[in-house]
Amino acid sequence: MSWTESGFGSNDYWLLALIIITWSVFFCLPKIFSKQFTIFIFVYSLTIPSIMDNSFGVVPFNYYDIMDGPKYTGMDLVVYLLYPPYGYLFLFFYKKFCIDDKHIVFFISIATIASICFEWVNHKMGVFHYKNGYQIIYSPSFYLISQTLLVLYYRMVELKH
Amino acid sequence: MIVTFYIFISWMLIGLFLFNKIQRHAPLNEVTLLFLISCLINTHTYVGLFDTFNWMKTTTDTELFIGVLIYKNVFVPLLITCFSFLIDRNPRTKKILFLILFTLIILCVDLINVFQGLYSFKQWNHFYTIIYFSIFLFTILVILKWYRGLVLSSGGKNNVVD
Repeated sequence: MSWTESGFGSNDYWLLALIIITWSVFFCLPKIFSKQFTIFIFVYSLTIPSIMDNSFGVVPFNYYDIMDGPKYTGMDLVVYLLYPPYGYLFLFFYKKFCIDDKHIVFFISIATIASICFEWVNHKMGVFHYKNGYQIIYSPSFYLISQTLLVLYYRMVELKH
Repeated sequence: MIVTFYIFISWMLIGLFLFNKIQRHAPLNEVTLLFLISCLINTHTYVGLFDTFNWMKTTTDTELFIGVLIYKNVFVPLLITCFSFLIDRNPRTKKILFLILFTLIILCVDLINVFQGLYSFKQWNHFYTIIYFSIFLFTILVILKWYRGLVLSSGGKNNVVD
């Protein structure tokens, strides 16, 4: 397994810069969740995209490639470093703005729009390559479900304590 | 048929967690974390290791592939989570019995998968599968111990917000 398929290009530099920025944002944010729950957010944010990529990104579906091409490379794994700070940021705002039942749908919709914009920028920068008829318009369904599940789990755990 | 088979046994395992005794000995946060970590490890192992290094060849048939997805993303994580709690909370003799039972289940499932054509072996065999899943189970047990240590180090508080 190599690091890249076609050498270190602009998409790799973009990805590394983005990872540095997102993790810097994470470290600057106040830690409002316990260590255990932060680990949960990280693992959740890693697992959901992993399942999606390894299900819909491979043959027979093969709807998209990550980074340079279809091969599984080191940089494909580095992409996953983007997701944990994003997951933390999502729940951070949820907690910080004390989102109640009335506004939860609105909050998840905004977060989904933000996620799509983030994905679109990454698509333009060559991190994701859609193929076999896949379009970015299909992505909101994944974001809506995964973000709703995360909020539901958070509320369930919070209620328990 | 294989899809129905995996949906049925996954449903059985979920039932064990929800309605049976396992739930009383396994807090929700630990079950969820172990399930997610198992998913994460297993999904990357099948695509990143087995397929990339051509140790196994996963099916390209859509119907069978749905079976593979349920197997690696639902059934295996549930089984590993279930057995990690069973092995963790029982005395040594029972631990060995559960380990043998786990190995037998994995072997049977692996035989069914190969027979049904979910994947085929290239540079792999059933013995390697048993070794892989034993290491996998051991890793999950270590993670469980570490996570419990983390809870203890935070003064036993398992709260959401600090």
